[in-house]
Amino acid sequence: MKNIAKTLLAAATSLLTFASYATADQKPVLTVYTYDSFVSDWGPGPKIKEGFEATCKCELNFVAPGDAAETFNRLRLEGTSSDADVIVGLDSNLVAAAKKSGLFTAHGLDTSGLSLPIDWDSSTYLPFDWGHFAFVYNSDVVKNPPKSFEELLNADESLKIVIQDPRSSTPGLGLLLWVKEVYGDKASEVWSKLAPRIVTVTKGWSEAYGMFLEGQAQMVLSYTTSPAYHIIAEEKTNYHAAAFSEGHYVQLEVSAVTKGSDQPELAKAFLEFLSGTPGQAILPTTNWMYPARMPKEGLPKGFDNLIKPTKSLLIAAEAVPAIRKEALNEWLEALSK
Amino acid sequence: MRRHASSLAPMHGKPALNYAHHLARVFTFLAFAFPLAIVGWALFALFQVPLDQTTDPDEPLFNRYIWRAVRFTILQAGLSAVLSVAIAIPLARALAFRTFPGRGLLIALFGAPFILPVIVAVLGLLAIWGPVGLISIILAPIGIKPLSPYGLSGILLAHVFFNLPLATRILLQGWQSLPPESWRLSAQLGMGQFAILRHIEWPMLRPRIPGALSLVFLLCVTSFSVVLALGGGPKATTIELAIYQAIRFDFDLTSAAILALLQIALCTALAVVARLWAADPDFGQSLGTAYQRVDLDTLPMRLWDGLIIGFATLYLALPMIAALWRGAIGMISHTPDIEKMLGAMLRSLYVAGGATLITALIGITLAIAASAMTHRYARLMELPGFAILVAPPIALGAGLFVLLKDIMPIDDMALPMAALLNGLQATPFTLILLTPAFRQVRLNYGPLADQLGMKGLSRLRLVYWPVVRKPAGTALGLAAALSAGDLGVIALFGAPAAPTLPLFLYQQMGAYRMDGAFATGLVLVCFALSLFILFDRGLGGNDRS
Repeated sequence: MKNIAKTLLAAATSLLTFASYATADQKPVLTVYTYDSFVSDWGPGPKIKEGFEATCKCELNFVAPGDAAETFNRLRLEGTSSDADVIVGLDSNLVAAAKKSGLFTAHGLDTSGLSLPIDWDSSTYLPFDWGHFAFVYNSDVVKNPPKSFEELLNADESLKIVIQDPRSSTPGLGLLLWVKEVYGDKASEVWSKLAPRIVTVTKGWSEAYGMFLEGQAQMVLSYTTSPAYHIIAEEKTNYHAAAFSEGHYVQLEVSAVTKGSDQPELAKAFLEFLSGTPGQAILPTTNWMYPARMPKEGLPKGFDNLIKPTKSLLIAAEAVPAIRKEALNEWLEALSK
Repeated sequence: MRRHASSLAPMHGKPALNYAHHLARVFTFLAFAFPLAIVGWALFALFQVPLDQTTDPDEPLFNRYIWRAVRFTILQAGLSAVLSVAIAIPLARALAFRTFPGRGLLIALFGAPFILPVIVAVLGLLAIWGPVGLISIILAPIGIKPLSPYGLSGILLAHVFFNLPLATRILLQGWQSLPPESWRLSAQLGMGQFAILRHIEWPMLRPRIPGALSLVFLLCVTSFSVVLALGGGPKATTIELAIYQAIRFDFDLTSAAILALLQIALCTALAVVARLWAADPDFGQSLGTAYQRVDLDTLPMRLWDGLIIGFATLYLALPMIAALWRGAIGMISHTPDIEKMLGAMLRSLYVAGGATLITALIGITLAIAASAMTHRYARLMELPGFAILVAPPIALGAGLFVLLKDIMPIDDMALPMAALLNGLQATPFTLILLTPAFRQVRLNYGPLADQLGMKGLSRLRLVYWPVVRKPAGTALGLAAALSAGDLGVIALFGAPAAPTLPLFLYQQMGAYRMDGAFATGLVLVCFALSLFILFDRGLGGNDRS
């Protein structure tokens, strides 16, 4: 009996000490909102967390509500009361909406030395990587990949694709704008023609790519850089991006500090880390995109074998909202038939 | 027995309106007005949403998309209702006339889908019908491609899973309401199957089928979790899912408001039509023994009935077994994140507790009030329940969000709002279960209690409580279990870093962590079931009489 009492007492004491220890040693927490694949086990999240926490004397807490557009929208729903200090994964197409939301503030960092495919004002929305959207296929399955949108539209019926919802996913939005940029007024017809080919529209990139790898579709909307993952991480050379003669739409991924942040200094430090040398070394082989700052030693080897689009397409950020709305209505209408 | 309003003794001999009575009246008024006020307030807020410059409701493309969503909502609900009832007819007949070992257990199993959290059932269905599910695996060697239960087919699979048992119970009750003499008489007259169908069964079925159809139809029009998990893209989008997408993906409150108003209008129209068209289905408890029928005693009929019972059993049991089995495996193979799971469970407890409290306060108060009224006025007490029925949680949630978004952070409102809306949602069936019980006590013991001068709390405790505790326990247990497992409002507003159990499960599903999702599913089932048992037994007592 006495023993039990002693044990209980000891347990209670240690619990109390633990509790006081935990409160005494509370590190500041930096909350970063990002998209789901960024924080997956094989994504950049774990290494970025390890790297940043080694220097910041803080705890880095990732929150991933979904793909990037959904994540941004979650922040809009939460407004200035959000816990988020930083958002990672807005893209060039969302920046006009981000500006309109008034949720982000300039970071004040030196942004010289970025190697970007387009002119970009980095004062608030700091780029960390970029890429070209492309359809990815497995050459063991697809022997004659389409060489243009036109060929995709007229390809054999058995060629099925999986795409993402433009409302929740930045690749989905990219494709919407890509088609609109190439076809203009005819975009609606193109979607109607494409509709029977679309196995499903997923909420985000992760689901779509997962379905493609499971063999549920022959092609998936992803990036020209996605095959690098299969080459470097899996030593597989049968995954390729289909080069389209109409050109490829560009995505610039950016991060930004929220106006409501209670850790503005840590937030700034994080942006600097992500777009600086340490973060940039992690991104190409975890997020599988081109770094925003070209490393001195160049890109990892697998990146040599990728297709290099000769024509880049991009709608100016401020023109996106109006075009997006029109294109989205066309898309919804065509795909709900 | 006919119950005349005049036989209802007034609650008190003398109209002695003291303080307690006033309080009781205020309470009744609040219970009556509160749900109506919430609905009215939300509707008002939805009408106030300004038109965004970029959302033009007259835009033909936008219009066509919305009408497709309406059409799909009606299409999937209509097909679900027809399929469920079409299978329920032969199934109920087979169950009414066949005795076999495990028949009681099977009928008990039919109650399970009602209490099973929808998202767990979806997991179970995927384990059977999914691209890597049991059926795909069995069919693979004969060269059949993996099934993909997303879109309309998946939604129908799930809706039949939930509603076949319900429709079967309604119709089985019908068969058992037929007097046993009819079977003896029909045998003596040498009536064949078709004669019996025409003269005995059809007259029984005809008033019941519309009731079953419209009930399943209404349930499927407002079914959200199933469509969220299995709907595939714009082609399989219901109005509720479109509201969710407008808010979650697009921050497009104008579209959300238009859609929510549309959904409320649709539900109102449907509820009114259903009320006019269908008689009240009877949900009596007794599903007694089977009768023998000579005309069915042929080998082909035995085979047919055996086939249909076997099919239904497999259809209902396999997904549940698969969900629990894979949950157990998931627990072992994938050490669950205890910290996250516990946090999620506490949040679910908050939602379930809050919802049950709201249901108890409103439901019991209204049931007492309704039991004291004549039937005509008692109907009036159904009004708050009716308001919730026509303003489903997602539409209502959208309205409340519009109203509160500038006052309160969304993270703070998610859980209270889920509790509130789940509680209101459970109110109608609490009334169905409780009003007759209170009415019965009033009829049986009212005059005696009056003579003894029992009033207020002592009357409640000594006269009402012993009789109503059983139905009250069941009603609150159902409310608690259903709100613990609900993935509606919380999917819309829940903080991604602070999920409830069903939202945590949905997140794991979305991230393809199926082992984890199944493990969470098992925990969720146990959690919801314990809540049900806690109220049903704890409050209702162990008395099985």
